[in-house]
Amino acid sequence: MIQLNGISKLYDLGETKVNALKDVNLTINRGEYVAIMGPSGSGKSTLMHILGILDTVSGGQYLLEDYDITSLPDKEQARIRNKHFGFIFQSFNLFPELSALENVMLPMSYGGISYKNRRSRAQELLEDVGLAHRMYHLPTMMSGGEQQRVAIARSLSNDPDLILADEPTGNLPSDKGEEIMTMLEKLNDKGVTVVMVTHNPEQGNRAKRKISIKDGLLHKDEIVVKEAFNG
Amino acid sequence: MANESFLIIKRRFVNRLLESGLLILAVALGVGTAASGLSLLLHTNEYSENMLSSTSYRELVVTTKDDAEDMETPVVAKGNGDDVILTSKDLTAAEIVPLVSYAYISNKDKLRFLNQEMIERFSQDGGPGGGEKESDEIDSQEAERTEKFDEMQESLKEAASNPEIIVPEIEELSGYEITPQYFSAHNLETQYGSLFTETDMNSLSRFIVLGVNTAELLSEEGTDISTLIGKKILSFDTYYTIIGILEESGSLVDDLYFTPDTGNVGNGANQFGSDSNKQLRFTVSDPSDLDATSELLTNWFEKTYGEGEFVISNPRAEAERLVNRNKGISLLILFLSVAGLFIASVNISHILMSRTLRMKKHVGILKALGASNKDILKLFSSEALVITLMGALLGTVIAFPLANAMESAMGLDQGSWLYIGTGVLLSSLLTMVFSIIPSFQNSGIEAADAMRTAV
Ligand SMILES: Nc1ncnc2c1ncn2[C@@H]1O[C@H](COP(=O)(O)OP(=O)(O)OP(=O)(O)O)[C@@H](O)[C@H]1O
Ligand SMILES: [Mg+2]
Repeated sequence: MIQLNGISKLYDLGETKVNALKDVNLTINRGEYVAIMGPSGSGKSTLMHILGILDTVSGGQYLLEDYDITSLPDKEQARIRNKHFGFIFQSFNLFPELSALENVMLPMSYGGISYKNRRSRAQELLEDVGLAHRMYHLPTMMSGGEQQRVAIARSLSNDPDLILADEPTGNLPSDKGEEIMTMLEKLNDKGVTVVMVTHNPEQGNRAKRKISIKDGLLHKDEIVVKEAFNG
Repeated sequence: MANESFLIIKRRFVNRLLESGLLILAVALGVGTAASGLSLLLHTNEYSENMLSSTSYRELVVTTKDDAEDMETPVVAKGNGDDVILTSKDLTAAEIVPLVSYAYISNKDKLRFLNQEMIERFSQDGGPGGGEKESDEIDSQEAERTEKFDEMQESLKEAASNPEIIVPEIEELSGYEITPQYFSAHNLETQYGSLFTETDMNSLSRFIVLGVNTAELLSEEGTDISTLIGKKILSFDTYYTIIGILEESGSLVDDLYFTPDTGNVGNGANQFGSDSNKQLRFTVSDPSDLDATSELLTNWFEKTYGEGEFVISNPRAEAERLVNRNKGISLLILFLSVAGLFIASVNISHILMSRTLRMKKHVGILKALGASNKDILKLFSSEALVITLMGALLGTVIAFPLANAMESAMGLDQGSWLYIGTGVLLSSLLTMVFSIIPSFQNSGIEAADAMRTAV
């Protein structure tokens, strides 16, 4: 599904240059559940942004279903993000001006879905994440766990093929984080590809594949053995 | 658009209603003043051009030195003494100046009519020209007056019984004594009858050509003005035969009458019985010839009458000074108002910029959710557009009374919608350009950069 060939990311700050990613080669197949781990500043978020076409690369090739997408026009990239990717962030990133329902409806408006259909689909999604009673609440009136569930509902609004979650439980107490993990795992069971950044080794071991980054270099890429999960 | 991303903008707009309202007010004031400033300048230019293109500003006026001071008052008889008297014969000066296209005399005049009221007044106070008299003259004056009175009664009776003679109810009319080239110089043509010609000037009967409003005034209610042609009007001292009615010109001419200048033809038609001093007018077709013409005419009149006895004035020079001053004032007002608009626009741009910068994180999230650069541009420019459009609307409301006030202060008539409309359009465009700049900058923000910002 995704193939990164020799991807590098260089932040040129004039005096200093930051090599956030160095020669990253990575293949992610449909249906995978990948955990990305590594110390702070190692380049995990940078990699997620590049995977989500939110950032440009300094070198290398990004193939999505064998298409080189770095050269696509902005409008086409936006369409891919909208139709095929779902983003979940550590800090939820809901729009504070919009209700839970409207937050979930928003991505569908870029897909040209009618108001009526957006609304009924958003209601369904919010019911699925257990927030039927919070539809008209603004994000400021919801707990962190509730906000993150709205964010998950939003990321699912266009039936994405790939979920990119950057420390989705980082701002949540462990029981609420567990809820989120369960949701992501359920999604993966349904065939959605999940790529998740985490600092939590226990969460990393629950994934099917574990990738470690250090100083912008991929230095470990391992299949998680089932027994580890069971034990 | 009932789109959720626009809802974000709408709610932020409403949350900052005071700031938004002030922005709209700033746009309105800027657009209002700039639009009326532009309207004023355009209007001043048009007015000046129209004014200077009229015949009156393509001519030179020759008067005697004594008359020069009150050019527009009716010319009265001068003592014959040593004074120089200009006559229609002096129009021949034009023959040696090839640049002159028309040369004519036009003297302001009044026509007093003879009617019952007039006679009664005359019998009481001695009629026109009456008044204080030396006591030893009174007797002979009295006799003369009685004779004249009888005469007048007689003509009035005669006139009243003749359907071909009009006895106007009005007391007097304003008009000009002219020579025929006046009509050509001012592009006047008749709709009924004809104009008088050079030969009519020497005719013993008196002709009159009427402006269209004057004709309406003299014709009986319900009758067509064309029926006036050929009829006579009874004036205080003679009959005038109506030979023509002018086309409507929309100018002062419509309210006037024109009679042939008779002062110097020796038939004694002037009621004061003596030659009167004339203003001579020489028209050129190209105003730039005025100076050269003035020089040639000066030579001719100096040779004929000697230096310092006459004045050649150029109304255009005076008018141009006035026009240039007005244009200068309008330009200054426009400059100041556009400067105000510019400052307002820069401020609006700046405030919108900081507004959108506070939304940097929004841009990142929106892009992650599928917004293209164009979508972001549309989103933010919609706010800028709403502010400028509302401001422009309010500005239009301000511009009309403001433009009218300035125009009437400058002595212009009411400005046209078109000029104010143009002003509103141009100035709102300027503001719009400024207010949309931040949207462009915002749409270019890299999504990853925007995601990393705290707000
Ligand atoms: N816009 C930028 N300009 C310069 N350097 C940057 C920029 N963004 C990120 N970096 C640097 O790139 C490196 C990788 O950053 P990144 O955010 O990917 O780290 P991370 O692995 O996600 O860390 P964390 O676990 O703390 O989130 C860091 O050293 C960071 O300082
Ligand atoms: Mg990170």
